[in-house]
Amino acid sequence: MMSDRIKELRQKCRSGAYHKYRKTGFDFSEIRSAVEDMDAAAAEAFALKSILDMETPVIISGERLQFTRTIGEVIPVFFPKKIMESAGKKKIWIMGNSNPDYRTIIFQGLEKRVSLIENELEKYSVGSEQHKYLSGMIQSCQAILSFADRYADAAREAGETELAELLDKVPRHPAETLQEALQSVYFMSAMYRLAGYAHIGFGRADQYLIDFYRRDIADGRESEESARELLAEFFLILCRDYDIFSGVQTGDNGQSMMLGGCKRDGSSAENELTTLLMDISADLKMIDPKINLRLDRNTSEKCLMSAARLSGCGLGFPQYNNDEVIIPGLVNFGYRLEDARDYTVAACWEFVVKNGNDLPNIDAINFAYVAVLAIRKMLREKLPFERIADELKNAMRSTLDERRKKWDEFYIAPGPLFSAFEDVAVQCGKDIATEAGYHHHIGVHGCGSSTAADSIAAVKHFVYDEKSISAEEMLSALENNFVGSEELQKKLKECDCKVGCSDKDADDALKMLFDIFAEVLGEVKDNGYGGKLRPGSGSAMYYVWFTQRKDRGQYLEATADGRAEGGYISSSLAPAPGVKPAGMLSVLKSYSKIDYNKICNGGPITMEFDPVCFASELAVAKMTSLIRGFVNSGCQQLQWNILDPDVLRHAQKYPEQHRDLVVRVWGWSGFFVELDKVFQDQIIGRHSFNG
Amino acid sequence: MADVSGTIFDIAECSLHDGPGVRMTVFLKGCPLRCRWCHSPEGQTNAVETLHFPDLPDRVCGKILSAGELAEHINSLLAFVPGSGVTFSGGEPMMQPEFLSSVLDRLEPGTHSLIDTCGFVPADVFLMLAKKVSCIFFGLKLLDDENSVRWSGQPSGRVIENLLLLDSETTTPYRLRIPLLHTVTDTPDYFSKLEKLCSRLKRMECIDFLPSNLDAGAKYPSCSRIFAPGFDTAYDCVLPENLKIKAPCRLLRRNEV
Repeated sequence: MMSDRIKELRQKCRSGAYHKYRKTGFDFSEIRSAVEDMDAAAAEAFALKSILDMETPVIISGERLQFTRTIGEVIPVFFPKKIMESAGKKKIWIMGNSNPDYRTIIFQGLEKRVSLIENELEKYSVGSEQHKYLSGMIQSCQAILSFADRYADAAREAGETELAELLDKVPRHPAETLQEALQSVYFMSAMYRLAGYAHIGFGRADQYLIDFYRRDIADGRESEESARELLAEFFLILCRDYDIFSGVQTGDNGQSMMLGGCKRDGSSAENELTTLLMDISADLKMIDPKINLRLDRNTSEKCLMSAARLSGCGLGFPQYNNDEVIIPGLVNFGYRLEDARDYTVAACWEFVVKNGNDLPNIDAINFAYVAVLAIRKMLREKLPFERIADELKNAMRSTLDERRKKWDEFYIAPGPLFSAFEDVAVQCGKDIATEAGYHHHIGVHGCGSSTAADSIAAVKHFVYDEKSISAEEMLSALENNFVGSEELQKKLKECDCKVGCSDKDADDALKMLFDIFAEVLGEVKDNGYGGKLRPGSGSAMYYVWFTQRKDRGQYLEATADGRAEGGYISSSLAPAPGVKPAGMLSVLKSYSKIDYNKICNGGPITMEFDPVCFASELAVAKMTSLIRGFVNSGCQQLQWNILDPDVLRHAQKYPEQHRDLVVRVWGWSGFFVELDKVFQDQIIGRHSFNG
Repeated sequence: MADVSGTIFDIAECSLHDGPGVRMTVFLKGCPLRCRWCHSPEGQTNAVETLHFPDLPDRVCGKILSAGELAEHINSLLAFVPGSGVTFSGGEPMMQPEFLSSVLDRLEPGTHSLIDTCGFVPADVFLMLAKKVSCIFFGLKLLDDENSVRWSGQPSGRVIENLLLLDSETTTPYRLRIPLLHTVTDTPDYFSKLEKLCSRLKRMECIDFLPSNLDAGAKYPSCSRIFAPGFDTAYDCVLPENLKIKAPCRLLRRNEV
């Protein structure tokens, strides 16, 4: 379905053709010293203006959306003394992992926004904190507007009258056409990157774009084909500069996009763009934007077919989100119902709720590590199995206390440009990062859950029920990393009491671990920002850090499921590496046991498939039943990877032959050959379902 | 209900090609035939056995469980997948009639059930089970006794009788599944016999011809057996264009089997 023009744009993007405009070796020291004595908002505005002054407008003829980075390096963040002093020795945490309010940006335009902020400004006396803060917001917007003017002038100089009109119009004024809306969104996303924000997502794009799409088609401004091509161009331009966005690995850039779901009033939000954007993504096969899809029982078959076809492309998305458990979970945690219905996701899977700001990805608790502590104590002191819950709770508590010491080392920096488009922030003249709005929670991942549950189930089975392994034997095997106990290790590895194997003990242990996690996190009544700790089931990169790097804490020694030190744990929710699950349904059944009313930071079930599962339209149709099965089972999030381990091994050896090979890493997709080897190896070791 | 036990050797939770919708396929152990192209030699004997692999630990093949346990497991997994169903394959599932019958009786009402059978079982057993399921996949092989014994180890008479009974004595929808094997079932003689047989069938929905399985020999060493099919498994057979069979006939692709 890709037109020749889009094929050509894709090729230009993949070959780095746009990088020729980039320069490096910029000296940012002047900015750094200039902002020293400023307030946070003024400093951001000044730095942004200075950075934009360093940018050179690039007008590319024949393209309908414009902005190309010329500063060819990651932009540093500039903090004034005031922030540095408030932070003290703490590490400064930059606002991000969230979605700017693009609806406000495109429907109001910056000029109107500035005048709204000016109205608010009048409420406060000159020199007050609020006055300074709101003034900074205005200056940032103005810096962006004058930069847009420079772009418009450059277009005029290049004889591109239509582009000049486009750039004159947005983001200054409200968008009226699809092209204007997309230009506004893209241009502003680039501004956030240049202002130093990381992991910026696009939120519910099918919702804020649909009016423009429908109107353009109805008015004959776009045909269905030209609108599709324009949207494809939008997707491609998002992949132009992600190599100079900050992230743990290339591809970990936060450019997520949410589709489908329900509106703020609870009615269905599915529309033509919900499916069209997925179809376009399937055509392009690029790693950005990373599509998320919200589902419930009423999601249409057409939408699911598009979703399953996109899954079959092997990009690792869409990530499926079950509204039927997510929304009640968010409400139960304390979010307002309308805001909960309007949720989207951060860079990976963490739920982002409007009218506040959470830090969804601050740290993780390694369940497997907690289980090691509890199990060793149980074995050492020969405690009855009934004590397991208490011991896990104690171990979870002490681990959390230890980790929280580290969190106190963070200082959360304000995000004025972000706040400028949030009514709750503008109306009180405060920053959304830590003050304005209704919620400021901290998300904590719970990783290694399958390894932990398998370990508990194995100890119950062999030591307590069957009594075929003595407590001393098990303890010594664990303490000696199974050296000299290879037979025992084999027995532990090969038994069926594992998550994903329809084993009651393992499933019960899994549920217990998450219940305890929610309870222990719930004991923390104030996270330091007036919020709570939000428990999740994701892993982020911790599944590699906690098993491969001793300096990251919660380092995992041998576990009672037979895993020796150095072995991996799973990314988010998946049977432990090396376990052959009974099948996809058993995996869903295991994870349906978790009480997602308590676990609401997100964290997807991650499944790997053989390409054969998507080999025909009939097969794809069957996969849609599985997606419905996921919704009906009451699981929360799901992501599918299409993997052929042989191909991955070949790609490790001959990366130049596999430059386009995409894999889901944790909550994001990347080009396999661009990942570090430790991440590549973990992916190769995952179990693959073949239908 | 007395809880009878049976032996299974695998469960595939989401097989894509064993019937309509997402299928859970249960493989029952034991088969009366010894087809030379069989790709599941570990399913032929009815006893639990140990498989040996050169680079992997030994694996016990076969699990004894009660009909109640199996039915509960199937029900619990299929409950949340719309349009799903269960397929009983093997081995020959009808070799364990009481067990299979009891499992079928315990399925949640409305569960789509299917038996994939070779038809070489006593007629009363065949009819009793065929009447209990939503659909039958009838795995037809050779059509004359001499060739049938040569390639599958048993004569074909009983198989053909059961097929005719299925057509006339039950209302269960069914289709034929025929392996299309070079020099075995892709001969003019075979097709002519097949046409003749099909002319006697009134209710057959269609015929799926199955291409030979290129990996059929993969599991033989682990069962200490030798794979010697006696024909070219890599040969890509084609269907004759002028097949005189009323029902639709199609040759499946290798990734559809």
